[in-house]
Amino acid sequence: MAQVQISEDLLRQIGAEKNSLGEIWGFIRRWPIIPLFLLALLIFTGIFADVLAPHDPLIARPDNRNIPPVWETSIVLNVKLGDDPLVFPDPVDKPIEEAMLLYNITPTLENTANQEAVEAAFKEAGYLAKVKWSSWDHILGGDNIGRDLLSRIIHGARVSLVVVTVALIFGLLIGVSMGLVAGYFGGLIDEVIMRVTDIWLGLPFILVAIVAVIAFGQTFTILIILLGILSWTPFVRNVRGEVLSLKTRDYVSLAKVAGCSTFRILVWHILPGTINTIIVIATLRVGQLILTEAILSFLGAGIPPPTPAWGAMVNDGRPYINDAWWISFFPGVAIFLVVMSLNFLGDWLRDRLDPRLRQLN
Amino acid sequence: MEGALRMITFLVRRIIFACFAMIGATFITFGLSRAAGDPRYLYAQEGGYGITPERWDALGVEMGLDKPVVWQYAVWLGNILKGNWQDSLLDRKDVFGKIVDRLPPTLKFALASYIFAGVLGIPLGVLSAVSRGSLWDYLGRGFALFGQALPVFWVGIMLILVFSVKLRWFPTGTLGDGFFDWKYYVLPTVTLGWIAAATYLRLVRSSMLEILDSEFIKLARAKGVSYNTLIWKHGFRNALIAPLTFSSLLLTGFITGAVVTETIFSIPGLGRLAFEAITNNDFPIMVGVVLVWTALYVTMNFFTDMIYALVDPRIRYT
Repeated sequence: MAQVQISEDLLRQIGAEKNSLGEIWGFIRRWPIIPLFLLALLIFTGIFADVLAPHDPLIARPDNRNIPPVWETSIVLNVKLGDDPLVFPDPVDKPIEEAMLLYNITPTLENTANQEAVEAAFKEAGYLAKVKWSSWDHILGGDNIGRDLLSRIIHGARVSLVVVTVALIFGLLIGVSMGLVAGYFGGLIDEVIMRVTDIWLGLPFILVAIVAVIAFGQTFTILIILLGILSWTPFVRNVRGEVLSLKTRDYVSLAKVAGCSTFRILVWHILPGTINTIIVIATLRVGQLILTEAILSFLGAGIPPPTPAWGAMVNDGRPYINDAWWISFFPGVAIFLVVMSLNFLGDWLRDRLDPRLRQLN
Repeated sequence: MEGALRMITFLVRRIIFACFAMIGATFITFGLSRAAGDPRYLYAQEGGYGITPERWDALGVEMGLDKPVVWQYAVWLGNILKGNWQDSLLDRKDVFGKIVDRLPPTLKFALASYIFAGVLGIPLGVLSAVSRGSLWDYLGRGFALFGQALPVFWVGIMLILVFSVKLRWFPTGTLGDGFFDWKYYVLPTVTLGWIAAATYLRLVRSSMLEILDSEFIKLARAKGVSYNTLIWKHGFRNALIAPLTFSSLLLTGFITGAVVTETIFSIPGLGRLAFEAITNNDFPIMVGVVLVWTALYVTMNFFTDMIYALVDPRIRYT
């Protein structure tokens, strides 16, 4: 018996015997399936936000204020006698049926069917009740001024996507061209570019960004420019390093002899050799950009309201954390999932495309 | 002898570099203050009431706007160096005084977070490297992963939700009255130190793995050096160098984190001052905060470079 067990263990260890579950797990571990799926979902929701969002993300309906997500029980918030605005309501915070029994109303199927019915039942008994109603119409609930949270998160995906893509292209253009020039020409140009990059890294970016926003106002353009000038530095460093080794290759010398212009050599002969590095850094950088955008929006220096931005949505829910945790919770989860997927994908790409970059961080 | 000379050259280079970074910061803040339009608009809107054309011109002369921009910059820089900073727009108080008032809470809780990050991150990093592939390693790496991807502000709010609102373990808001009221420090310290701890963990782990794989460790093992000496004296001491170089990275994270954390926990520090400046559109305060913070940042960076050069004799003095 013992022998049989040992050989089974051995088989499992050397991977000769695989069950289907293990195979799936191995597949998931080897390929970045989950990150890719989440990122595809992000891009899909970003593009088709208008179709996917169940409600308009900008229209606020005060009676939907702070309504809970669908799986949370509907509760009676507070009840007061009559509708005199000077009478202070009693806090209740109990599920509908319980609250009704408290005020001597018999709960039936009809009067607990929806918000209007419950309120009508209370009114009949002479009370004015404030009800928090969860429904499939607002799956993730409503935010602090009654906008549908899910719709705002979906549209927020689009906003993040647009801002980050533009900022990244901006950073790529500056960073890669500066890296190419610094690496290829060397000497004084190299020294100047690298020192500027160092000094740039020496500035507390978030504060400079805030100053710029106070100076120029909170607009989309400013935010994109700011994120753009944040994103270029790592490209310079790494592209330069690549170019230093690439420019000594024989095919570059041959191109020179053949009379190619410097521009042509840089773009057609050297740039393709740096693509792997660029892809890896860009992927890792996008996560950082999304986080920075979220932080700026959270501080009120990012995407101007009322456009839905995940960071700003977390801030919206901050004063209501006592009784409406979902307003802050879900946008944060969205940020987390996207950034984590990007980090995973970036690490995976780095191991595949450019293992030397492992030292980066 | 030659080594000492190179050390001095390195020192001088770093000082010059630090100066350039500071000058860069003044350029940017001054440039932004002028690029945003006539600075007089900070005091009075165009076509607003209560300001006559004469007063407008007088204000211009008072602020030196009739002089060339380079001159304006020189005057501005001179005033900053003399400690003669502008008044804040909202309550017309000296910005320098305001910043000095707000500095202690930030320094206190940033130090607490730094200690927290080191105490949590470094041992966990060693542990997960030593027992690679074990449960500890998975836990440590999972923690590092979360630390990198979770937004600071969200972590802070969720900590408040769980530990102050639901469980009622810790108070939130301000740092308490006394010099160090630990209950008030727990949540902000964890919020700010979380990312730094994760970064430390990751760096210590990877450099520890690299060191443990090197030849001199194998030699020590072959000689029969005890396990603890091997890990702590041979491995850890060498592995600590890499995280040191990344201290500047941590510092940047701290600045961003402090603004956010102080905002969430209503700590009356420098970061909160920056946040209030955004809400009140108070430009002079923001300029002051940026300059003070850049100065702090540049000085800290300078010292970490120095420590790094002292700790690791192999460093190229460039």
